[in-house]
Amino acid sequence: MEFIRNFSVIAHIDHGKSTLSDRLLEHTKTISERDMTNQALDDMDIERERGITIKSHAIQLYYNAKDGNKYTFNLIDTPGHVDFSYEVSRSIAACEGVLLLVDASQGIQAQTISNLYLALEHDLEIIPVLNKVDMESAMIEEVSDQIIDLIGCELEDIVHASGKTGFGVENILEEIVKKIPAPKGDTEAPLQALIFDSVFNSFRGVIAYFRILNGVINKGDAVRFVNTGKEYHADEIGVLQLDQIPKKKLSAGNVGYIITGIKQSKEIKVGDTITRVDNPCAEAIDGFENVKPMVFAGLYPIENEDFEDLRESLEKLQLNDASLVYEPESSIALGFGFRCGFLGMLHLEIIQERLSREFDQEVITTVPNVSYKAGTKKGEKLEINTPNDLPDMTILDYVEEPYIKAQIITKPEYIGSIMTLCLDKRGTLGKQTYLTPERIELTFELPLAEIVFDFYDKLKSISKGYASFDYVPIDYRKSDLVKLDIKLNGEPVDALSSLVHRGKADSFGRKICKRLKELLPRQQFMIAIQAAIGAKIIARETISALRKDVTSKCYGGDITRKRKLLEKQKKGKKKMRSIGTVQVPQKAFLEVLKLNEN
Amino acid sequence: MSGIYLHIPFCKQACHYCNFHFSTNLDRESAVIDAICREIQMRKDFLPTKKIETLYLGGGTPSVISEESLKNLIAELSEVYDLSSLREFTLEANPDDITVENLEMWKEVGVNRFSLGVQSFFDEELEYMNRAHSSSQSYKSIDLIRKARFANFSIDLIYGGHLTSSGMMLMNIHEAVQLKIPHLSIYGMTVEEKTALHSFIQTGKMDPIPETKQAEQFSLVMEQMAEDGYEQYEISNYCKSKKYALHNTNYWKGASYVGFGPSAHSFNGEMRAWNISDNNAYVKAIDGGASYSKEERLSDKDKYNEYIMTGLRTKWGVNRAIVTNEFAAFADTFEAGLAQQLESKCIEEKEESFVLTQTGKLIADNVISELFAT
Ligand SMILES: Nc1nc2c(ncn2[C@@H]2O[C@H](COP(=O)(O)OP(=O)(O)OP(=O)(O)O)[C@@H](O)[C@H]2O)c(=O)[nH]1
Ligand SMILES: C[S@@+](CC[C@H](N)C(=O)[O-])C[C@H]1O[C@@H](n2cnc3c(N)ncnc32)[C@H](O)[C@@H]1O
Ligand code: SF4
Ligand SMILES: [Mg+2]
Repeated sequence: MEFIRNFSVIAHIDHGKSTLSDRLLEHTKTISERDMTNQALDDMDIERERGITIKSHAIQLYYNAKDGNKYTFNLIDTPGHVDFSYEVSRSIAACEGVLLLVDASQGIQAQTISNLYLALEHDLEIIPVLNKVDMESAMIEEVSDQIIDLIGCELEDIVHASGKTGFGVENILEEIVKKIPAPKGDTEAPLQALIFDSVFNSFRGVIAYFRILNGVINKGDAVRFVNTGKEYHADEIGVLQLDQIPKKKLSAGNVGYIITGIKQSKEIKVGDTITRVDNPCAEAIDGFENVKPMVFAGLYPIENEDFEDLRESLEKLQLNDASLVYEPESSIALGFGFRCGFLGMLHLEIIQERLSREFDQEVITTVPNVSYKAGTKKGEKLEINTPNDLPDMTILDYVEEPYIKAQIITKPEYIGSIMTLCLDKRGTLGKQTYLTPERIELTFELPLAEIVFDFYDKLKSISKGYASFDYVPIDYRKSDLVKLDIKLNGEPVDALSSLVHRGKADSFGRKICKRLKELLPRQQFMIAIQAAIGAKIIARETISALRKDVTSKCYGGDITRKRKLLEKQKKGKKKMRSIGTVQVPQKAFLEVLKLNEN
Repeated sequence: MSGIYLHIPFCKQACHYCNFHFSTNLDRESAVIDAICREIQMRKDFLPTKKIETLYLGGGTPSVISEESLKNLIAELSEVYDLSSLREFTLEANPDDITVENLEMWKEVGVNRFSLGVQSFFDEELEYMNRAHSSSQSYKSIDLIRKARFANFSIDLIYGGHLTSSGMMLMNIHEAVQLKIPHLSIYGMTVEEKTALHSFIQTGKMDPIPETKQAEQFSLVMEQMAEDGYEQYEISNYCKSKKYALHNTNYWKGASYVGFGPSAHSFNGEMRAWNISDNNAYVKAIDGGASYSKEERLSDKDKYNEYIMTGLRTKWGVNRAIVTNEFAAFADTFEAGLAQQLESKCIEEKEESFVLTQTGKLIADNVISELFAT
């Protein structure tokens, strides 16, 4: 055990975690040069295409240290995006230390701070790494000062590195050996292993990733999952390298995987404890707090008959992504579907994309909303996860909406426009702290509903990218909300309804109608779009009928191409949902909230 | 009924709107013609029959090639095919190539129909299109064609360009009617990628062409042509006294044809093939025995979709009995789409067939795709 080191790589988004991990894998020859790709651990297609990490990735490497010993490292690369911070917290639970990366050209950013605190809460050893020092815009001294101020380390503790050139990799590996404590644990004690992640493989079923705190596990053991109480046979155990490497036995301190033939996603809970049936541990390890969804939206199959398939796909996705929650619901416009909870808009987008890619399930996502609390005059308390749950005004006593505390780090010159933005979003300013003369931290209290949809994009654009942002939920506060309905050719479309603050309803209604006008394709007839609060229509737009859509050019014998063009046109229609007579594209429900100011 | 198409991939100059395959490097003429002759031999078993009813020389500009080239091509064809019952032999010609000598020569090789690229009778429009001829050349060429006693010919016109007002478009039709042109192809100016016109619009030198303008002019064309006694037998084709373009009509009726030359298409009932659109690559591939075309075997769904597409674009429409008998698997799709389009009055029933209405013609692509199977 003394030659094991377990650590995570954490940082703000894009500060170079996955790239630096590549260099560590390369240097330790975990991946041969031939198999090396950029951000090799980002193995999902979406991750590779978007260039961001979505899921934590664990991998084992061997390192021959200068002290003459051979060490086993379990490295976990984590995502940097706010939506996925729970991935960081779970990864951390399997580690004794972290590499905290800071991009030398960007300095400390919002998620640098929030991820650092996650690590400190678990008493992990922090190795500060000043990354991307190869860049011309690197501000070595300035950022070093920021790091020292933030974590209270010495200048010498900061390792300089570049994931691009590989500079500093050897130093990092040595620091890991020296600074990160070897795992503690008792091999003789009853087995106690924490499940920190799980994936679903269509051939092998559920694969759980665990960290053994005490005891040993052998292939073939009868094991029990403490919280669910279920018992299984350890068909295969092993360690995670680029592929899974089966082992006969794994003991305390190690990170590994187990396959038990579980096919049902529901049976396994990330955060559960694995123990042995013949010699069970006395208590379960403290698991993880259930992640709270921030955004809710309905997911509906395009064809009603695909409802059961969608349920199955969601179940499987949930295995890879414990933060996804869902329950069946129905909509007048869309039929049967699921109300799902997401960690944020990126998470929502990714789930939608994964359903399409991995399960060939095209879904319609309704207009997203946050979760509200309402009370009726009779004293009932309700949770409102969809606008349609809001009780009628006549019996409604109050509505409360969730608030968050936002932390924004930026340059002083952008304070003015950021304040304007936050005030417009019904925020109130809290503290302003100068981290350095050139960097200021602003805190605001804001309604969650105002920041989940397009806040970050706006923040980025008004600050020219020089603002980073993090938030934590704080409480619920009374609010004056109204339900805004959208009608297409007179038919209300419940899937497009939203809850908005009364003061903003008019302008919101106008914008949403304009946006829909851009999003809905023209059809053979005219389409009227209306926004209404109750019976009062507050905005209207008209989409004129299609005037000309005909190939009126000679195409001779080239019938194939012409046919394919029209087939594409037909396919596009298939990705739409008919509401009454109006065809609504799949993406319209989501896109409708991306309201441009102009 | 089987047809032959020869693609002559040369033009004197590039029209700003055109993305058909052609090269302005006329030096390659003999090399390309030689290759086409070889292709005629290589593909000789493509069609189920050797008996040919229609022959179409298109382009590009077939009227630019030399007498020798043309004769070589015809000789090669005669070797492989039976041209004795040829009913239609069309040559696409540009007005600036029409001379007494050429007409005589074309008559001699058997041409019996012309498709003349007039495009507009307004010089400013011809200039905007970068055509190689003037309107007076167009008038003169029509006169020469008549004098050479070619009774059957067609002219191409384009409406809805940047300069075309509704008045100009009506004037163009009026001129054609006055000249008693038996057949007209009237196309809407289409902005195709990789054309000068497209880049003018992309770079902001020209505005995009509003859809409403094209819709309005298309409606006017249809109304005026009907008024003048022309039959609109296909979305863009009009004629008098049933002088339908046989070769093209066969495309739409699903007859087989073989095409030779770069970018030419072929169809034998089961398979569609298309040659590479590059003169040098074509010649090289033919010379080197390499593959010069791609092909696709049609599935039942493809065949159904093509039937709907080509059928609905013509006055013969689509027929319920044919769908039930030949495309039974898609009968439900057909009926569902049909009901919807009858309801919205884009399709109407006429003599046992379903055809596009005037409204339907304006949005034919939309209507057709509604009836498609996926
Ligand atoms: N110049 C330079 N660029 C780097 C370095 N490390 C990473 N990059 C670039 O920075 C971008 C982000 O790198 P990633 O490794 O994907 O960052 P990440 O922290 O894993 O990002 P998330 O997982 O999405 O939070 C990529 O375009 C990299 O090529 C470095 O050391 N020097
Ligand atoms: C295959 S082209 C060749 C005909 C011949 N070279 C000529 O220019 O007269 C046949 C006709 O298609 C039409 N055409 C070509 N490109 C077009 C476009 N982009 N939009 C509308 N019509 C087009 C023109 O009317 C042209 O005469
Ligand atoms: S329209 Fe005719 S002449 Fe003009 S470029 Fe196209 S093929 Fe050549
Ligand atoms: Mg990453």
